[in-house]
Order: sequence, then C-alpha cells, then structure tokens
Amino acid sequence: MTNAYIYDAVRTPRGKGRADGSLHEITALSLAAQTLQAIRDRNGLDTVLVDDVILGCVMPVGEQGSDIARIATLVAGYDEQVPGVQINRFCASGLEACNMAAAKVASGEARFAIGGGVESMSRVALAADGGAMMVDPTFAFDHYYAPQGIGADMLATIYGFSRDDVDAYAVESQRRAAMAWADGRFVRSVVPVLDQAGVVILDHDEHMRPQTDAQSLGKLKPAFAKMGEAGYDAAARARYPQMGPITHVHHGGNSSGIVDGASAVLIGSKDAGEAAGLKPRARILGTASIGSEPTIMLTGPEFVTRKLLARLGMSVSDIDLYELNEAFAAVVLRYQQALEIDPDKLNVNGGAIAMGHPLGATGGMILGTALDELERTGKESALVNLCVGAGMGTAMAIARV
Amino acid sequence: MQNITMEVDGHGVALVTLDVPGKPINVISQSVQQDLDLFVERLRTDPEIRGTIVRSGKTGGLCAGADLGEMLDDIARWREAESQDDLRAAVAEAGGYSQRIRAIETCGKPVAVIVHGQALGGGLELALAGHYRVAVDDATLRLALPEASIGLMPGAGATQRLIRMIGINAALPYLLDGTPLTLSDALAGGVVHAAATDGPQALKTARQWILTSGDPVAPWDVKGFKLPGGGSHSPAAYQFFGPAMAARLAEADQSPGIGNILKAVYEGAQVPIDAGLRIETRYFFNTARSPDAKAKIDAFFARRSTRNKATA
Repeated sequence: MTNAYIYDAVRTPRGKGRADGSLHEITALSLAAQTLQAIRDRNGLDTVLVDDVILGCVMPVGEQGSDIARIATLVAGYDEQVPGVQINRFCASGLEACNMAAAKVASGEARFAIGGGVESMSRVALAADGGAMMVDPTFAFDHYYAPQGIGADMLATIYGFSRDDVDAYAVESQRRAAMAWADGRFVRSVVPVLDQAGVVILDHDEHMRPQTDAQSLGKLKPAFAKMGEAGYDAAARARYPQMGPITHVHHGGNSSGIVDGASAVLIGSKDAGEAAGLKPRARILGTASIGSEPTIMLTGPEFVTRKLLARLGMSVSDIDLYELNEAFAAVVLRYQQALEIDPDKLNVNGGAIAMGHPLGATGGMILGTALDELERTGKESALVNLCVGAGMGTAMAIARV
Repeated sequence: MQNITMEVDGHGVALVTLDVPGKPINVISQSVQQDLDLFVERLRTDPEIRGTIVRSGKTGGLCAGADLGEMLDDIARWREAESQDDLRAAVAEAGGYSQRIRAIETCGKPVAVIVHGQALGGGLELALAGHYRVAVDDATLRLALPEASIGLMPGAGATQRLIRMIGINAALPYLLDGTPLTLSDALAGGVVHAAATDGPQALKTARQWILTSGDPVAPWDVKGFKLPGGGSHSPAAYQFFGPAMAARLAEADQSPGIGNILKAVYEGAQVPIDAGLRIETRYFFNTARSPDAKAKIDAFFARRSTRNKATA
C-alpha cells in the first residue's frame, strides 16, 4: 500500500443558511465548482492527474441531486476524464469523502483524488431527502429512533452536563472562533465565494456571534423539549429505562449552526506529488468509521477515535490536536470526558457552534482547519472526527511532513 | 347458504341478512366466509340484481369480528408453517377473509351496509368494504378495532381502508389503541355516510342510495386517488407519524400488533390498495405467529373463560 498525503485544503466561508444569508443566491453547484477551481489553480494542478473527485452531500436532492460531484467537476473546467461521485455518511460526508480519496490513493487506484463536500442548507432544506430512518416503523419503531437533538439531550442527561456546562462550552467556541479569525488562522484555507459576475459575495464566516455570553444564551428556550413531548422522549426512555427524565439543554446557541458552504482537499501519492512538483503538507496516518448505539446516536466519536488509535498503536496523549465537529455542545463535552482530552488540545479554533456546520462540507473544512493549525504551531499530529447520524463516527489522523 | 339470506325486490335491490345460527351475535367463521363467496358470486352474475344492502339479523349488532375459537386453531396451524410451500399456503389462508371483502368491494354493483350495535374488528372491516354505510344512531352503536389489545392486528383491510378514508394520522388511534369511532367522527371522515334513527329508516336510506347515486367504485379504486392528509413521506408524516410511533414505544405492556400495524400503514400507504391488502395480510400473519401474540392471546382466553365461568 502507498502512503496518502494531503497536498492542500480549501473551503468557502460559511454563509448563514437562510434566505437572508449571503450565499443563498449562489447555487450548491457553484459553491462546489469554486472550491474545485481554487484547489486546482493555487496548485497549478493538471486535472488529468485527478483520478476521482469525491464530494459529500447529505441532501442530494433538487439542485444537489444527480451526482453533483461529477457535474461540479465539469463546471469547474476539469478535464472531462475526471469522474466524480457524491457520497453520504450524514454529517461526516466531507471527511468520509477524504477517507475514500485516501483509500483510492493508498490502493494505487488514484494518483490524485479530491475529497470534500458541499451543502447549501439555505437552498436545500434539512430532511429534504426523506428516508426510512425517521418514518419506516421497521427501523424507527423496532430500533427506537429518536432525532439527533434528543440524542444530544440524552448525552447531557446520562453523562451529567448541565445547561450551564453546555452554554459555557458554546461561549468558549464563539470566543475561540473570533480569536482565530482575528489572528488570521483561517486565511490559508478560506477562498472567498464569487457571485455570478465574479464579484466577492462572502469572504468570512457570517454565522458567528462573538458577543455571545452565558447570560444571552441563558435566555434561549430548549429546542428539543417539544419534540421530546411529542413522543421521542418516550422512545428514548424505552431504550434507556435507567436514564430517568431527559433534561433538555440544547438550543440554537449551543448546537451547530445551519449554514452554506463547500470544501475540497487534494490528496495524492508521493510519486504523484513529485511528478506534479507539489510538496505534501501532511501524511494520512489512518482513517476509520464505526457504528454505535443509534438511539443516543452521538457517541460515535469516542469509539471511532479508540478504534483508529488502537490500529495506529497510539494513545490519546500521542495526538497533539483534536478536532471534533461541534454538532452539539454535549457531544464535545462527552468526548473530552470519555477520552480525558485536555480542552486546550480540542477544537482550539472554535467550531460549528460558532461558525456553522454545512453538513456535507464540514468534514473537509475541519480537516483543513486542523492542518493549518498544525503548521501554525509546529505541532506534529492531529485527529479529526465527527459524530454521524444513526450512531456512527468517522475519523482521520494526520501528521505533518 | 347457512348464515345469509337474500331477497331481491322489484327494483333489483338485494337485501342480504347475516344471521349466524346458534350464536348470540354474528362472528366470521369459515362457514360465513363460504357463504360470502356464494353471495359475491350471485351479486356479480345475477343480472336482476342492481345493488345490495347488507345488514345483520341479530339485535346485538352487525358482527363482533372473527370466530376466535376457529382463529386460534388457524393460528396454531400457521405457526407450524416452515417450508416455502407451507408458508405460501398459510399466508393465503390468513388473507382469505380480506380477499373476500375485497371481492365484495370490487363486485361491480353498489353495496350498502347497515351498521347497528356492535361492529367490531372483522365486523367493522366487513362494513368498510361496502361503498356506502348507514349507521343506526343509538346507545348500542360501537365501532372499534380491538385486535391490538388481544395481541393481534386488523387483518381484513382496516389498516388500508381507514387510512384511505381519514388519513394516516387520524386513523392511528383507532388502529393501534382500539379507540372506538364516535358516530360524529365517523360521519365527518366518511367512515359512515349517513345516520338513521332505527333499522327501517336505515333500510330506506340505503335503498335510496342504491336507486339514486349508487356508485360501485371505492374512492381508492379511482385513478388519481390521493391519500387524505398526505402519504408516508409527506411533511405531515414526518411531523406526526414519527412522534406518534415513538410515543407508543413507552407502553409497558406492548402488543405485538403495534409495530406490525405501523408497518402495514406505512408500507400500505405507498402502494395501490390491492398491494396494501397483501402487505397487511403478511403483517397480520407475522403478528398471529409471533410468540408474544401467543402469550397475549392465551392470557385473553384465560381471562374470558374465567369470566364466563363466573357468570355461568
């Protein structure tokens, strides 16, 4: 097997995922094509060397349907020989795309492969793709389905995180993100989005609320209490009879933001890089995915991290930097608690609570964030991972070269 | 026919009276099912018959549902089926009553049903197969599907016809919880088309319907039919059906029928009625064969025989 290297990573800024968001008037296709163009242009890449483009997209319907990866590749002006495939591992789709790209390089199928993703949540709404998970009784009834927000509140209830704990984490995410932007830490990865006339329409993450404090968050009502009362608390308690009543602590301010964006990560073999005159930025140490109990749904990160570290013969303390998608505050708090990770090594530049989580794109985005941070600090290794719908987790570990 | 009498009047209206001999109330036995075959055949082929009115000859009501004694034997036999051939034969048997009801619905002539007193389980399902239902409005009227409470599920079309009449969300309490349908709800949802003060008036109303409008086609057999309230993947289903099923997971004494009723509803709502009825039959069969159902049914019969002894 060949080693797979990361040569570059780009992302769009994240626009508010609403009709008044800056990226609402830009198609998902354009977002994806612009990141593919950026990663080509800044590396002077001959696209005929790219053997696949893998893009995560979680709502692959409407304008995001019919294999947006192939269509975006053509629109970006890549050689027509370059194929594209859209994949869906829910919230980890962008990272899974990178894992698959790495596997294609490692197996020798690809010289270069691009991973990443796209999601315009303002244009293709959450749940637009439907699916059996929520309404087919063969799954939803027999396997005690509850929505993610309920899972997040279950995590808080079972592992003892109070409303104050999750709000404090959210305040810290906002503080770190604001500090990172002010310090220029995202400059290397973020490529401004251009409008139809070629004018920059957005060059920064616009979901952030740096003025957030515990007091302002304290005023927000729990977002999932009503959903719980409608029946899902009952399902959760039937699955976890020892749990007791669920404390609903999550709300819009301590959960990931709904945003628009895209990401692209250029992965290739050493030989391919040398032939193209490119210098690798990191080596991919390993990748993994795992399933865990689906009702609580959000415990995958702990287990996928343990699985990957065990395979690599590493321990938690061997990794310098952890990046875990901030789907909900309790997901990160539970991860930190379970693996006893120093908070100063985890999501050091904030995360999706402050900046947003454009479902299919996020994995590629936070991989780039970790890479930039390793380079900025001179640290060696990072582990990037996300919790995933239906109880999964997906991870990648990298080391600077 | 042992259980059914049939008189055709001068206008071609066949008055059919279900009166199972030796029983205080009508139940659906094998013998009744055989009579239903003969009845449908006559209805279909006799050119003198323009339409039919089905009613009960018992004072207690239209029909109390399956002959439970017979059904227990059937279930015991279905449990034995293992080979593909045996399974296929047993499923066909389990769907026999449902298919007979479907034959009434598609006989090509208008069928009115007079409902009085009890119309429970398979008895209500018989009424649902007619094209027009008149209910006698008095204190004895009871329309309900109690199958889930004894560990079974409706197996003769209720999961399919009720959702096609009133929508998935409105149908769930009747199918899952055995909640009785009030006459006003039944009238509002088109489960019952007209109310009458007594039997003779009901007969008059039913006869008038046959002689005036008398449409022999169920709404779901008309091209372009759409489920009221939206299908299994409509926004309403995500908003209500999902939570409604989650809520029922909490019930401590879970009937094995609950999950299978939900599956028949969810899957049946996505296909034409005949496919929906086949799907319902398969889940009815699975429910009847499940060990949980056996425990529930045994407990029900133990309670019933104790009660009968006590009152004897």
